[in-house]
Amino acid sequence: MDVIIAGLVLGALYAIVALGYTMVYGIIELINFAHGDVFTFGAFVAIPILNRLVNQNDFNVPVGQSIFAVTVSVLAAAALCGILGVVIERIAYRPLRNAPRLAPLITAIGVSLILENALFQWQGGLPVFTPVAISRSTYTILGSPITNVQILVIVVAILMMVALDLFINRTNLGKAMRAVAQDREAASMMGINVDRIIAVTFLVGSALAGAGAVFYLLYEGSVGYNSGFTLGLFAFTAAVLGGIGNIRGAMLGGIVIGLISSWIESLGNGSGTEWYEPVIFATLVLILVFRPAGLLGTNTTEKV
Amino acid sequence: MDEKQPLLEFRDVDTFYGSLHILKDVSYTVGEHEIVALLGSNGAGKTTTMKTILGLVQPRDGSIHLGDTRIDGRSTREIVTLGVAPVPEGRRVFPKLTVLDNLKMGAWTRKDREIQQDIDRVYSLFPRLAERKNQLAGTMSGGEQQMLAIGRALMARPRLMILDEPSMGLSPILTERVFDTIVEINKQGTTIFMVEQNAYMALNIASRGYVLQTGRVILSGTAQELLSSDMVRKAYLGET
Ligand SMILES: Nc1ncnc2c1ncn2[C@@H]1O[C@H](COP(=O)(O)OP(=O)(O)OP(=O)(O)O)[C@@H](O)[C@H]1O
Ligand SMILES: [Mg+2]
Repeated sequence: MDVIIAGLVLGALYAIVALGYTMVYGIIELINFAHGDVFTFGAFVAIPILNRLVNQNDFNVPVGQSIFAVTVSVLAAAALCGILGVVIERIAYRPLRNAPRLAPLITAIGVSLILENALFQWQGGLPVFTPVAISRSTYTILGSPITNVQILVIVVAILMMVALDLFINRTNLGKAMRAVAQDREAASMMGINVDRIIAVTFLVGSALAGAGAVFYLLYEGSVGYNSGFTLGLFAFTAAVLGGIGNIRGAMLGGIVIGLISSWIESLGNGSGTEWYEPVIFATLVLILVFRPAGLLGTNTTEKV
Repeated sequence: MDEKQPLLEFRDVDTFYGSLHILKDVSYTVGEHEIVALLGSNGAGKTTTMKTILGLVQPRDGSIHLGDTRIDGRSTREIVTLGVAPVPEGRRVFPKLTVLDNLKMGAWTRKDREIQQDIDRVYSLFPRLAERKNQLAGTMSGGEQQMLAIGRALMARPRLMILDEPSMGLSPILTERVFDTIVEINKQGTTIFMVEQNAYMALNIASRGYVLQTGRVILSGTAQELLSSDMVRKAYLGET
């Protein structure tokens, strides 16, 4: 049960990040390698805010103070990551939209390297720790301990996913996003401003990563300049597992990858820790070989 | 010839794909409330004409006018907002959106509150769409998708509807139904410019027509004139 709880928390975080990969892929068929670094950027934005807003010597942070500090840092990280995502799309990807597919892919790797170096310059190579923004308390579910932060991460992730699902499926803007993903030229024939819709996709995906980064911080307590890269690869695996381009698939894939990694980690009295990365990436390879469309994916021929 | 004020006018338009010269010095006029047919064999440049109107391809030379507004050089979005709605070749409905959502996308540029009213109007024109409003468009039959494409274009409340081979892949009966609907839409005030391979049926409902061959207009006139021209009879009506 401990393993399941830890897996769900991790999985919720992977799912949030996986959404950004899958949304961008769905709309412009690009694997946005820079997405994981946008996530790190969100965490780096949040750290100074949390430092400022919570009293670091006080282990009993008042609830009101916790709520305020977390809310402000989530809003700031989401906003700045959203803007960063839009800027990246505008300067790095849009000029290449009609180029052969390999060009934007290589550019995405380049953007990722640039961001990572910038993050390194900003905060250095060591993990950066955050103050305890929420005083821990522990509850018991079915005989297993669960912390308030774990509950928070799971609940918030579910709320974000439900909100995104409603946005994509129920609002006109969300429907226009899907229309652009399905047939860009036909969408422009409806008078849909395709450039703007693509920008909105980056905005939403990156803002989710920014918000997710704050909850990652609250849970893990620290972040390094390259944390987002590794986490991004896991999230990408989750997106592929769910069927890249498929939003509900990314949510499911995230949870599954979270559960797998926490299960592997728990094996052999903790010596499994060294094994979860290879296992996850082996999973990625296996999916790509045997079920490239993913769990919820349909055939990819529809894109033609 | 008709003395109505032209709604759409091509003046000596040249269009290229890269260095490929597709439309060569082409001129058309489509009068307000008219139905005009554009005929031509495969590869003549009919679809390119439609894309040029919509700004998906920009003419290199000449000008295009919608009423008294010059529209060449404008974005597709602006042109659609000015009142041009396409029924594209191959229908191009959004396969994973429902019928209803496809119709809503057709109304994207509109800000008014009468969208629901127009959805009902489309439903009464095509009762089949009402029955299937929650079905994914990609799972509908070809004929149903064509109705949806026409309905979606109507949702823009266009002044000019441009249709690219609306009868493609339809049975004769369905083709007739689609043409009846086009006449009905025209009666309700929408100007029609349509590409068709089915010359006989198209000229039956059109007042005028143009024949395009390898990018040049080689013949134009009233529907009657075209129907009785040797060239059209041989090339499109299969007569010898
Ligand atoms: N994107 C493109 N790039 C290069 N050439 C193109 C492109 N699209 C069309 N063409 C060429 O332009 C010419 C006219 O094409 P167009 O699609 O306008 O023909 P059409 O009259 O609609 O034919 P059909 O009846 O087969 O639909 C053809 O020779 C075609 O090969
Ligand atoms: Mg064509």
